[in-house]
Amino acid sequence: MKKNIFVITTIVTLIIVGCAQKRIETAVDSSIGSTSSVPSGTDGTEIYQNVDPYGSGNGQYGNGQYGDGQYGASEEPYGDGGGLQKIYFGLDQYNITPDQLGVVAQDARILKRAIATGAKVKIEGHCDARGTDEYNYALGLRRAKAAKDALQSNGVNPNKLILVSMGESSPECTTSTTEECYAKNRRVEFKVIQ
Amino acid sequence: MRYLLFFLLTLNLFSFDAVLDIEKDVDSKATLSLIEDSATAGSTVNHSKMFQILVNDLQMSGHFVVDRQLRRGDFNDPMVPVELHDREYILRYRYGTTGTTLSLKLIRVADGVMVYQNNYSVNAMPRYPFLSHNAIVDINKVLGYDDISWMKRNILFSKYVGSSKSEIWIADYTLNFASVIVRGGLNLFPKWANANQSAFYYTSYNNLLPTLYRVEMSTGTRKKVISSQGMLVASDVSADGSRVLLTMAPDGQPDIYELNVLNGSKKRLTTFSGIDVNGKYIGDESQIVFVSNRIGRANIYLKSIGSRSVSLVAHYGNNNSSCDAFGQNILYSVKEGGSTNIYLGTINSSYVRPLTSNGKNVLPRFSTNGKVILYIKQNGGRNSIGYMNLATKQSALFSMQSGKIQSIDW
Repeated sequence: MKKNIFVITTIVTLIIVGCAQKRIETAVDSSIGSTSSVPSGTDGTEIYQNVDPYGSGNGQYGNGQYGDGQYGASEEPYGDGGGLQKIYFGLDQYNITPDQLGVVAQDARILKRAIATGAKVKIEGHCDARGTDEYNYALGLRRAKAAKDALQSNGVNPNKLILVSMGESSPECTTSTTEECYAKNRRVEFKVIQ
Repeated sequence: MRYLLFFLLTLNLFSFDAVLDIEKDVDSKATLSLIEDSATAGSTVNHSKMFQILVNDLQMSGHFVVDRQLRRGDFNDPMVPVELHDREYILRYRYGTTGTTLSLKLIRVADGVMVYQNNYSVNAMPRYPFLSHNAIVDINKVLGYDDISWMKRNILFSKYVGSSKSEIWIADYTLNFASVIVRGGLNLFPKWANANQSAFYYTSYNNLLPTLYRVEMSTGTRKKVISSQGMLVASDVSADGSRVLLTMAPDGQPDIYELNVLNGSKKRLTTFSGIDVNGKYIGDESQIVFVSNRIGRANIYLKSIGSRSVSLVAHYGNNNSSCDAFGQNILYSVKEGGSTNIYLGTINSSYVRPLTSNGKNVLPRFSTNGKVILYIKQNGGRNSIGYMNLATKQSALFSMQSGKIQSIDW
C-alpha cells in the first residue's frame, strides 16, 4: 500500500510540474510592445494609413463594368420546334446510353441540313447542381464531347461543331431537388449559329 | 484496492489532461476591453457594426478573450476605468464621422503604457470593415502573436443569379463589405492573379468560346488572356504570379495546362483521356495536385511537372471532386452518403483529418499562411462562408446572400 501511495504521489508531482511548464510556455511576453508606434505629423495632425488602395468609390472595377451579356453572333436554338431533341445522361456519367442513340441519329439529320446552309453548331453540355465547380464543368464538357463523337458517327462534319460546357449554370428543371428534376438537367443541347 | 487505485488514477489523468488544455488555452489569450470614443459614437449607421467587427476580429485572431460589452469614453483619456483594472489591455478607438477612418490606442493596463497607436483610412465607406481587419492584424503583429494577415485579404466569389447568369463579387472575410465586381451574362471562376491581389482572372462565357480575362485592380483595365473551346479555368497561380495552372480543352478534352504569364507560352501537363481538372501547385511548385477520374470516380492525384507518373494522395473517400494545396498539405471535399465533408491530408503520409462532419461543405481553400481554412457550407438554397483556424481552433460561419456560390478565392 505504501508503495502505491509513493507511485501516485510521484505521478501527480510530475503532472503538476508538466502543467507549470506549459503555463510558462504560453504566458504573454510582457516585454512585447514596449515601443509605441505613433504616426503623427510634426504639427500634431493625425496621419492616416490608407489600407484600401483599390477602393475609390465603388472602385474603378466596381458595379460590374465587365459584364458583356450574350455573344453577338446570331444564334437560333431550334428546340422542339425545329425537331432537335436533348440528350440525357445518368448521374456522374458521360456516355450516351443505347436509348439515346435514336435521338442522336434524328438530331444528326437535322444538323446536317443546317450545316449545309453554312451554319455552325454549338454543343452545350449541362450538369445537375450536385457537382463541384471545375469537375462539374468538365463533366458537362465530356457530355458535349460524347455528343459530338456520336454526331460524327452519324455523318456530321466535326469541323462545324463547337463544344462548350455550361456546367450547372443553365438548369432545365429548377422546381425541386429531386432526382427526377436533376435528371432533366444532365443533358446536351444543340444550338445552331448561322 | 489495487484496481480501485488504478481506476482512480486513470480517471484523474484523463480529466486532468482536459482541464490542462482549457487552462492552457485561457492562459495563452490576453483579456481585452474596448472603449469607443464617445465624441463620434453613433455618427453613422456603421458605428455599432464597427464594434461588432472589432470584437469578431479580435476573437477570430485566437489571441484574445474579448469583453463584449460596448463601453464609451474620451478617446484621449489616459486613465483606465477602475472596473477594467483586471484586464490586460484596453483598446480605445475612434471611428470617424465620415465612416472612413479609424484611430486606435492599445493600452497595457498593468503599467498604463500605450503599446500601439495608429490611424487607418479607406477610400470608400462601404469598405469600412477593412479598417478593423487591418488594425487587428497590426495589433497581433505588435504583440508578437502569429500572423493573421489572412484577415485583411479580399475575397472573390462568383454566384449564380439566374439561368446562364452569374455575378462576381468582392468582399471582406466577414461579408460586411460585399460588392459586385463583374455583372452581366455568365462570368465564372474568379482567381487572384498574384499574392498582393492587385489583379484577378475570370472566365467569361459570353463569347462563343469561354474566354479568360485579367483585370488590373488599380486601373480597372481588362485584358483577354486566352480562349478555349469547351471550358477554361484559371485554377491556380504560382506564388510569384508568373505561371497559371489552367484547365482547358482546346480539343474537347479537359486537361491541365501551365501558362507562362510573361511570354504567353503554355504547355500541357496532363494527357489522360478522361477528366483532369483543378490543378494546384504544391510544395516548391514543381509538383501539382489535381482532380481526376482516372480510376472511375473523382479523386485527388499528385504529379511532378514534366513527369508522366501520378499517384493518389487522398487517403479517404472515393468521390473527391475538389481540392486545394498549401505546403505539403491538401484539402479536399468528400461525398459520403448524403453529406459532403472536408478533409485535411498530406502528400507525405496517409494522415487524414476530417474538418467537418455533417451537411454539405464544399470549395475548401487554404489561407495564405495555410493555417486557416475557408469553405462554403450549403444548406438548402442558403450559403454560409465558414472559417476554421487550425492553429487556434477558432471557427466561424457568416451567412451569404441568396444565390449558389460557384467558385471562391481569397
